[in-house]
Amino acid sequence: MLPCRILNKSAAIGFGCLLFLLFVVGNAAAQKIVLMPMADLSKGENGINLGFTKAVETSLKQLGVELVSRSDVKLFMARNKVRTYRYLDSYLVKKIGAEFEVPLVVIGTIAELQEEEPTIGITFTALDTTDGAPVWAASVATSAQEQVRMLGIGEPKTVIELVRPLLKETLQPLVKLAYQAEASESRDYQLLGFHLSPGYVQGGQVVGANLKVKFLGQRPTLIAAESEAGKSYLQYDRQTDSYVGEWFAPRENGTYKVDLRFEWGRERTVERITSVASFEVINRPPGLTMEIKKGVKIGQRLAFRDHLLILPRLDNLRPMAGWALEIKRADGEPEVYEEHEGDLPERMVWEGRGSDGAKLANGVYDLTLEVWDLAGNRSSDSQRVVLQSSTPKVKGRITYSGGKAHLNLAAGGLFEFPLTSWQADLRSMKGQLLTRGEGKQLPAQLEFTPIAGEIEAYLSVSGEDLLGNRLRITRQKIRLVEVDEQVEEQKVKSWVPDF
Amino acid sequence: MLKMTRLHILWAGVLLLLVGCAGNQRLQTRLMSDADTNICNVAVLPFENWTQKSELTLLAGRMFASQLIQSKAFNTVQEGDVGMFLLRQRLLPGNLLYKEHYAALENQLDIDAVIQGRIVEAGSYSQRGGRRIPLLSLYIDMYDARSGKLLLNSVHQRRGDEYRKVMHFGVVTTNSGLIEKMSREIINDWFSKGVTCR
Repeated sequence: MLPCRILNKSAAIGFGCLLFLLFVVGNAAAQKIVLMPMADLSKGENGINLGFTKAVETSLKQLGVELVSRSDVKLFMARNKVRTYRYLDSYLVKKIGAEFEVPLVVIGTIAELQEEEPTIGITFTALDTTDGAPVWAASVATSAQEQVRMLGIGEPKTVIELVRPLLKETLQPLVKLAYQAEASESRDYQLLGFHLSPGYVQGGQVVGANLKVKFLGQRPTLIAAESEAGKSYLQYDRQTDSYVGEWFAPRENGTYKVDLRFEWGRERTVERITSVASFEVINRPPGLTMEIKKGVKIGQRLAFRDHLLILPRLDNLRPMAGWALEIKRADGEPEVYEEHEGDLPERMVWEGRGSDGAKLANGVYDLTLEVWDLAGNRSSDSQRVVLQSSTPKVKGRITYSGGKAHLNLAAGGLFEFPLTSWQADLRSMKGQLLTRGEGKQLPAQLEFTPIAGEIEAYLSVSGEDLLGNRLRITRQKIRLVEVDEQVEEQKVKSWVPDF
Repeated sequence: MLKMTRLHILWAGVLLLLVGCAGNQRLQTRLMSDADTNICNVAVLPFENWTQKSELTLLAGRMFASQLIQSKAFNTVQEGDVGMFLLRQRLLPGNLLYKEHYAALENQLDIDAVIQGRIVEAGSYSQRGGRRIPLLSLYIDMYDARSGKLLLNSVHQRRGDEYRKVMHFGVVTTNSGLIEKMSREIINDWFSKGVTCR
């Protein structure tokens, strides 16, 4: 170990980025170190400056430090896909240490570089290959403007000229470290991912595990996933280079933390990593209720003419996997089906339209809202509603009896609630009032005396139903001969927002 | 009369010198009243950059981490370990960390505090002779890794020519040099406020 570390409580264990030191065995001191190619931020995040790397190598060699060859280092970088030092973690540093038997890895970064007006900023960090931790750092930042010489004699013209005298001075402490340091043999591992699927289950369902882990050196004899549900050994899958296994979830509700257990060698030395992942057993359905607002209670029935506000309520607040809303006619014919992933919205509005956006006919509809949680527990609630977005149609018919003419008015078309009030008048072609009447119920009959010679008359009807839908028919032609005539309601142009 | 004027000029010069060396007024560190200042292991998250100079992001992070290591007062988690952690958690620089992130950081990297920094201002201005003098403002937060609570906050602003000693000597003309010096001042300010490993 290098001398300048502060060791406190658990830091001494050397736990870093899920890297675990298992065996650290010191061997003979080695002065050889690895200098990674200099990162050059002026060329972008992944930039490398080989010219400067050479300058640093020269300075280190002049200081008496032996270096691993650059080609070997580059080969290591290519094999291990090291493109940026941002992800050169402790595991890789230890791997470098094990592969080249070096105690130190030096990473240099050119933080700032300007060739035209020589300017440079460099940082160096030395990492201990025993635990991958940084043990030394230095930085240099200067420019030609800061290095003004007397009468301009010997002023640096290039960045290399500018920085070379400073490099030796900066890197000097590294020599001492390289002499003091010891290479170590370590057996470590890097946990790349431990995935449980599904993460939410019902009691008794199967939980699958997939472990991606890299080992420095020998792999453990056995790897197990351990939780309150028991211990389950994971099998190595050569195709995916991962360890897989599965077990049955316990019956009881709760969160179950999963530990990893590595068993090494014949003695089955056990190394345990606690709480690497967890799964949750949920047996209770979400407890859904649906409250419907903006409707009118008529007897036992909930009716509406314009829109309904659907307010879903859950008895517990946990993330939901999805929900579906189904609207069917009373005869079971589906009109709307909406299915979505994720949590339920706080509110929904139904404007009495079908899946195609067209207004549905008056009638009885069943609304069913279903929700399911991540464990697959389902809960649903249904309510029957009555849609009446238009008044009943009014049928007018002229009959004759006893020398008198009668206007017969009757309700027609699809409707659930009749008109609660109506007014009608019948006028001759010249506008003379033939008859007028009003009432609260249909059918109704109005007596009148037709004008001789006229075969048609104008009928006007207005009315309103229980839900407030209004009927208005003006000057509709009606034949005075004895035939059935259905009076068409005049469409009212209106804008209604989409569902 | 002439004697008096010279005396006045001399006093004015002394006063200017004193004001110039009166310390670092633009560095302010606010320590939370309940902050545990016994910090040993720290992780430096990638710096956030609020300026147009994107090249300063990595530069500032590396320079600050370098100064932390050089201070030998803290165990600084290696940048690669932090990078891998952020990659696993799918976090980008500047992302808000939640309690579970701090818990995972503490658990996986065994740290006491998390340092989050941001560059809030970066620029330069010309001096006589075409010399460019950099100007920077840094904002550093330190969070308790166990609770995710803010421990301290440092705000610092400097210009390169504030380090002038005599004539042109001491003037900082590089961004990295300025960040290096500012980082050292911030860390020294933490020590003076008792933030260290005991």
